[in-house]
Amino acid sequence: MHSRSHRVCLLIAAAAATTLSCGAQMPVGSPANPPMPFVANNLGKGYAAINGLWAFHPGDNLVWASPDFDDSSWMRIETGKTWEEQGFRNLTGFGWYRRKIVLDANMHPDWTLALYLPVVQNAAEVYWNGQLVGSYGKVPPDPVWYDLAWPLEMAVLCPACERGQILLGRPESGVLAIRVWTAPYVFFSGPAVGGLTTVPEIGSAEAIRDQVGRQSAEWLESSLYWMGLAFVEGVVALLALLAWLRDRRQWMLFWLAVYTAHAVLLLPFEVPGLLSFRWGYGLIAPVVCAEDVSLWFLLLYLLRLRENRGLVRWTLWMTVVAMVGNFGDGALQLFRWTTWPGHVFLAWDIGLTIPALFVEGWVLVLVAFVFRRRLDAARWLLAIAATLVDVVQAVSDWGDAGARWTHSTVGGLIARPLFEIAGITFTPRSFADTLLLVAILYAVWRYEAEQRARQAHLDEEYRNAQELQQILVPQSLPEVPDYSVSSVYRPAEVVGGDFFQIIGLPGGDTLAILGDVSGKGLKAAMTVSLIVGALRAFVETTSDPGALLAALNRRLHERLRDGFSTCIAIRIDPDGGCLIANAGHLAPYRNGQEIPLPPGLPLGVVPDAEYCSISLHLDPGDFLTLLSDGVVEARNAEGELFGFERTREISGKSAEEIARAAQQFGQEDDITVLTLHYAPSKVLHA
Amino acid sequence: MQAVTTVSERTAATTSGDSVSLICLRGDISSASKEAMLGAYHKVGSTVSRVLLDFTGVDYINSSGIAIIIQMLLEASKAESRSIGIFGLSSHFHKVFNMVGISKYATIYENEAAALAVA
Repeated sequence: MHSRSHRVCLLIAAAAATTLSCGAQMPVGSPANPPMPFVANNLGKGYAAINGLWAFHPGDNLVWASPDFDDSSWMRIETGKTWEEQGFRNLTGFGWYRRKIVLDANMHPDWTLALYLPVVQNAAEVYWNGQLVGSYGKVPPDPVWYDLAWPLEMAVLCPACERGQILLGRPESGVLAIRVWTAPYVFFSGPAVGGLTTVPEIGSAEAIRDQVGRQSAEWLESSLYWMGLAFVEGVVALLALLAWLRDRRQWMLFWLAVYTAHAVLLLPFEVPGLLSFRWGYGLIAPVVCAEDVSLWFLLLYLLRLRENRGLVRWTLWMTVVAMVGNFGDGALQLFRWTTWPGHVFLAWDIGLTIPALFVEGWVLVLVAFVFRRRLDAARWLLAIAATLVDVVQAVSDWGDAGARWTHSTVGGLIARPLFEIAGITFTPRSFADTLLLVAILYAVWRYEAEQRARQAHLDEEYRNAQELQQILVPQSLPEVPDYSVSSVYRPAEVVGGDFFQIIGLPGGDTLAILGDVSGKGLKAAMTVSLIVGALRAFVETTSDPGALLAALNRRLHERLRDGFSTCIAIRIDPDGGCLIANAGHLAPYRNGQEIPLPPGLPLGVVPDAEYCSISLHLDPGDFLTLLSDGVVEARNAEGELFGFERTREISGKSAEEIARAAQQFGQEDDITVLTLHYAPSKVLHA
Repeated sequence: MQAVTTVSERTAATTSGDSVSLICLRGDISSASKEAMLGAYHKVGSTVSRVLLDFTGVDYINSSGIAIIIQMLLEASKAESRSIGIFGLSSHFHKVFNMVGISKYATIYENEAAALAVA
């Protein structure tokens, strides 16, 4: 995991390492011993570091650029060390370095002299014999500086500069004056800052160019590993995003895409000199925030913590805190904060950074919830890797936070090499990041395998339910004396909430029952099984449609959980006798006309509903059609309903034709059609 | 294809000057509408004796939606001092409401003016 502080730490650590290796601290010099000129003997075509003591003066005056200015009264200072290490505590803003450079008279006059400053805190202008020849970044009033401890070749601004070097012209002796500006402190500033924190180098343009190229190559070599890792993560992000776009319910894939994409999004921040401190620090906030938040949600999915609603709710709160802290601090950097009073900016910086640092530890809370559970190998690895990364990050960030006041050096430990493989150095952070990526990919693979197994199990359960429903909703109809019966059943999903039964009664009568449970899918189908079971039992005691519906209603009341079932029951006999009772269902059609029936409450709504049986007499050739609301409430793309009128018009057609017409119009719900054609054999053969 | 249900509440005065609460429904009414509909109904103050349900903007009601409406009407019927009126139904759903016996628990009007005139 990266963080904004990590980038600042790189600078601080590099600067500290450079300065601490230079030996004992040098006190501020006395003007009694003016700095010796730097004599570059036998420079040849090479280059030399301008070691030794420079004249130095805090403050700013452009007169100090002049080669004739007398700096004998100035203090002495070394380059390669910060100002604060050399006694200038709390010095920010401008300070001037001056040094006379004496070149060997035997140098070839055709050469071009060049200067190279690897790291400057934070911006500088370079004057050679009183002429401004180039700058590193821009000094105030509109400062621009770069925050990386790498060759700042892209940060060098001047017409005569190339690849990080400042060209000084013909090789001749002169006075080098460097006007350095150090930015105000931020919360992550190191214990000692300011000035020329690496030793300037002077030499032929060719040699300096080689030196810059060498350092760039070293940077590239040292960066190959994380660049490769970012490439892998980019591929994973793309695949996860595509998979999520195909099925947007798979939010685990979305968070995986965000988490792995952060490595790619961080690339511009890692390339030396691409983004200035202001823009880099300001814009990295959304990326850091996305990295933290996406890891939290990924852990909620992969460690099966989502059923803990409280934990999910707290994670959302942590997201809000992380966003406010990171975005607020980022926005702060984008303002012209260097013009503010230092303590005002620092107060805001600390106030916004500390909450963001606290919530970074949320990973540890999430992992703590799973350590007491029995975990498989993938989840153990993920929990351990996530813990390791979070601890590494916490040590780094908390170690570096306010280090200039706490003098902590713990944060620097995280950037130190652990081991090296094939020239690639692994730090605790890069090792932990790699381990976490591997652990996440392994856990995602396991998660997907489990999801597929669960889905296969559900599919199997649905198939079982479908088989059960085929028993409840008869596929082949029993013989009904003197009636020709046909039916169609088309559930909107795998299983449905419509049902019908044809039940032969003693004496040649037949009960035809058709109903519709509110809702659809598995829940409705299970209610159907309850209704059909109860119905079959009640038929043993009564065959009166009204009494049957009343008994069913009593059984279903308070068992349907805010739902209901409409139902129509018809008892027919071979002589054309017909009794109908209706519990809120669509009225049946007789020869293309709706049979008027009194309204009736659906089953299960109130405990004491009563249903009256209406008596009819069917004539030979009469055609009865019973259907569910899936027909009349079929809806086309324009939202128009199939409606009662269309239904009436086709009600004399076969069950198959009616169902097909509704389906083609636009099926929304289960569709059931049952037709009874009265064709008594004794009349037809008479 | 179902559209989201939107529910809003307002008050209106009847021709006799009494205040009534109106619950205006828009879109499709299905099982997904339960929280919004019952939430709006429960927000109506306990002292309100008359509530009107405005179905003018409703395009579709499936069986689960009807179950929610029945649940709301049964709640109202338990509060003896409250009555419910319904208006703005399409002819299709007017017929469906009659069929399932909703007219036993609520009076159905053609439009808002008719509902307020009677109320």
